[in-house]
Amino acid sequence: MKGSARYRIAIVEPSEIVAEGLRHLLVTHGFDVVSIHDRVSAAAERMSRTTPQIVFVNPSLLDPEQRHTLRSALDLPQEALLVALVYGGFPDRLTAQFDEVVSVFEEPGAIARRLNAAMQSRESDETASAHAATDPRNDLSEREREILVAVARGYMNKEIADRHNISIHTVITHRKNITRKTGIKTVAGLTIYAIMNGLVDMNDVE
Amino acid sequence: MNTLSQTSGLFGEHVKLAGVVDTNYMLLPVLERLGIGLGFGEESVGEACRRAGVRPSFFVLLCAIHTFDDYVPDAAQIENADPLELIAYLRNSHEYYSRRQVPRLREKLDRLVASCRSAHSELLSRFFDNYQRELDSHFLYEDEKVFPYVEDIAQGRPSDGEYSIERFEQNHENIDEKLDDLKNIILKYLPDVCDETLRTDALFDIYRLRDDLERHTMMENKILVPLVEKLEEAGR
Repeated sequence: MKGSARYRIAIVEPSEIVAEGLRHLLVTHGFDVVSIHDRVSAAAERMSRTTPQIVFVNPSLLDPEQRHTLRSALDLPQEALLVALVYGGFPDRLTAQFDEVVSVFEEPGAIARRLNAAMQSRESDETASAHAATDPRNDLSEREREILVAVARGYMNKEIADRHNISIHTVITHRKNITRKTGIKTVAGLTIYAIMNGLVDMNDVE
Repeated sequence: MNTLSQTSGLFGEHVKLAGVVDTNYMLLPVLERLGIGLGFGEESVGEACRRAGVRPSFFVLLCAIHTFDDYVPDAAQIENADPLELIAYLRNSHEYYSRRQVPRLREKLDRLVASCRSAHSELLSRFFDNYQRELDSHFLYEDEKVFPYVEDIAQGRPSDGEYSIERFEQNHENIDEKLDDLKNIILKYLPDVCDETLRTDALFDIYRLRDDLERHTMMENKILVPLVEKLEEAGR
């Protein structure tokens, strides 16, 4: 199943077996794997030349002291999609920096679909924010507005995921996008935003 | 990259204090926190520092931090820093934020909110209340737990071994987030029925506070922590 565009992907993964498996699957689904690395430092040097649009990184390679974000360590532009490649259970703390989380046990077709959807959503976001200056209303997608309302009403990520039949990571991704678009990070701030934009009634919130 | 000679040229001992302020008037609060009063006539940096009991090298460091964006002190400057002097400055900064800057901002916000005359804008007051409380408790923790710990270590008093600066570093919360949200809400999402002048006025104060807090946090993370880590190591 080919995506409508051949997105350029870089893989940063210590296991050659996993990296090769992932490369094969991605190429089969119409992506262009431009580089594979087993360390972040090696990857960072190549990134500026290969300019990948999607970067898979095994979170075990993260800087344990977290002195730099992964995005800055790799010198990635904001538009690049940062994907965590995980084998098993993983704490939220490690995956917080990533835009998406992909497990090696996921069905390949589903991974490809998710990647394409994420990239297309980002691209439409960019054109949307280019028009935002002329559009006085918010440019959140329908789904993002639903998630925002749930957050404002005090629901936790897990509850939101259950109610909307999506994964908790999708919820986190939506919340990150909401923050990215509005510039608002805290729950209290998002609540005010939701109320001011008529998405939620003041009385629903207390 | 700002070299030591550049910063000394701008803020060094022989420079007139008035010249320092002319170079960057945002240094006025810094002078206040160092106990250097205004009305200093033709005094030089060196003279003013001696009068206030401040080391000129510390003065230059503070000026550089508050003048150049993303200024990063080098290893020599960190090593040269006096922990007690630094703590005293940080404590004074907390006072300044809690007792002066934040309450003034609060007043401006109250006036802004009153001008909007809508229930929605009153949410802002409550939001700011929470922010104020968060900030105060953040400072309290540092004033009562972290700083005394550093003072003990710096003066060679044994600590009970329970606390370490690493714990501080890991728990050092981001106090900017709510302020950023407030700024964005007032800048982008408050309805235009609100008084424009009051709005701009409040925004200026928010931007200044945010800027100041950012540099304050940087000093704690990039100067205080490494400095104390060295002291802890020496003590072992």
